[in-house]
Amino acid sequence: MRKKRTRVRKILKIVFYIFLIFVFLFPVYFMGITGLKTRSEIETQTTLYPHVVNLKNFQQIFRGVWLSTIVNSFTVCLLSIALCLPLSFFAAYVFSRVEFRGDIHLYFWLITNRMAPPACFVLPFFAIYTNLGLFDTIWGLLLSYTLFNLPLSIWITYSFMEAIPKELDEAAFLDGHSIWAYFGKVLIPVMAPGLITVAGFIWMFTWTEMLFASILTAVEAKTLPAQLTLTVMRLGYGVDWGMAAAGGMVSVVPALILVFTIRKYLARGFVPLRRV
Amino acid sequence: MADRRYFLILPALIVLGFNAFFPILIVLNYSFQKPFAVVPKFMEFGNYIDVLHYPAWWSALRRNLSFTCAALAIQLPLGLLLALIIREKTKFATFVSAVIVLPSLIPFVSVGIVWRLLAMTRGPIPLFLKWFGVNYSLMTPDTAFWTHVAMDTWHWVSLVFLLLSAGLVTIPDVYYTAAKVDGSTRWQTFRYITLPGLRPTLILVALLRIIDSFKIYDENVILTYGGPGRSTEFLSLFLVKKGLLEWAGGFAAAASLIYLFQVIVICFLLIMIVTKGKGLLER
Repeated sequence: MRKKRTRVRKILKIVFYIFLIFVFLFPVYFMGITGLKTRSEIETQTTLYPHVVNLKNFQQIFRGVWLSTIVNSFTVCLLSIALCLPLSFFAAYVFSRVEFRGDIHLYFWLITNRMAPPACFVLPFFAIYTNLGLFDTIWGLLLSYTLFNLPLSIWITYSFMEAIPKELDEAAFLDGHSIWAYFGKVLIPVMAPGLITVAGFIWMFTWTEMLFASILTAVEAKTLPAQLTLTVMRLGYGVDWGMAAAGGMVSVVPALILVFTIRKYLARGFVPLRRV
Repeated sequence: MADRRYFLILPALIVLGFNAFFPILIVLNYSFQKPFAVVPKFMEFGNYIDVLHYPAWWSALRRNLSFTCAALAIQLPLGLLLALIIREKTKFATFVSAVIVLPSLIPFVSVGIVWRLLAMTRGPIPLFLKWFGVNYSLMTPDTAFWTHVAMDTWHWVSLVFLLLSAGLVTIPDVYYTAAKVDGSTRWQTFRYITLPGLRPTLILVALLRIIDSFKIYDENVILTYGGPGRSTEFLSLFLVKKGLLEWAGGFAAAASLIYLFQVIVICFLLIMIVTKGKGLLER
């Protein structure tokens, strides 16, 4: 009797799992196949697989405007990592190892920048970056992204740094290492997995950002999310949903890579406290 | 040893000061005048009074609040349920949890596109609901609002699931063994062991969800762009439309500052509750 019940429960569980996989993957699947459909099929029927496979959308993604937006997105992501990773490493080191007056308030201010709605910054950013001649440049985009990237990466790096015993510092300094030698020879190698995770998160938050990208860029420095928004918002001709879906599909790829590489640390990116 | 290591924090502070502090000063300046007019003029608190008398702003604020409440009320129990069910360490369960986490890494814009495609007139959702005799259209205000909630749930329930699963691991097995020995029912175990053990994590997740759902912008733009009419316009979209499409700079600046103030107050209160007044630096 008992055995039978556990078996029923096992089967129920598997059915439930399959249901979950369906719920979470079907929407993405549907976007993928919409990218493969012809325009007339999208606009006249509901089909669960493309009756006529149309590779044109995906070919167009890797040409012209779309290609340049993808390249821009990649460039901004890499530059963001190059800028924010060292800065946040130093800042997190100070928060973790050095006590100074007002450190708690400073830290809280940092965190509020992660929490603040970016929409509040749109107006002044537009004014500042146009006046500095940084409108529609990768550099302007890079600088504006530090608003949320830096607090976030300091937050995560701090949580990784706290897990490393402070005695390591003292031992190194007693051995006569300078602070730079200590960073290079001891701390950075020890923290390598943590730093890679932080880089992954900077990548993710930069890759997905849309608000600043659509406001601070026009042609030259447009990123993939901004281009997608433009495609969806275009009125007059009607929206080319095939193109939007194909572009959306391309933007999912880094997420797929990340989910299988830094999944172990994913929780850290959202709540970087030791307790969790 | 004079500790001069704190100089290391300076580069980050300079960059953030330029990006986070300086803009606030500019907004503050704008909010007291009529900035892009032919003759700029000093308004005192005129802009703030305008904002507080503007019906569309109030309805956007109310919409934001009800959205946040709805999102919390659905996502917390759902995420908890998922975390409780998917606890085993088999390969299949690990794969399922990876699949659940995937949406939270997809760009917001793409989430918007996915749901727009699903909810379009010829999309699968209307088709599916027709089987049950429900007429679904994104073009009615209520449906549009609840589609936003559904989309947000699909997008972020994974976060609740992820953090609560991590929280579940920290509850010592001894407690469960003791409960079993004492012959407590499953509900009692959940009520008196699991739930108190998850309390800090639950509060933390709630904090994150409150703040992030309050900021909703990208998906809002893609899914409906505030439509039909202005019936799904959330605060962020309202601000951007006011500031950059209507060029009502002073008004938008005042509204941004009020928005920012709300978020910071919520943040501060919740952080104080989570850390019991100690702040976030754990020493």
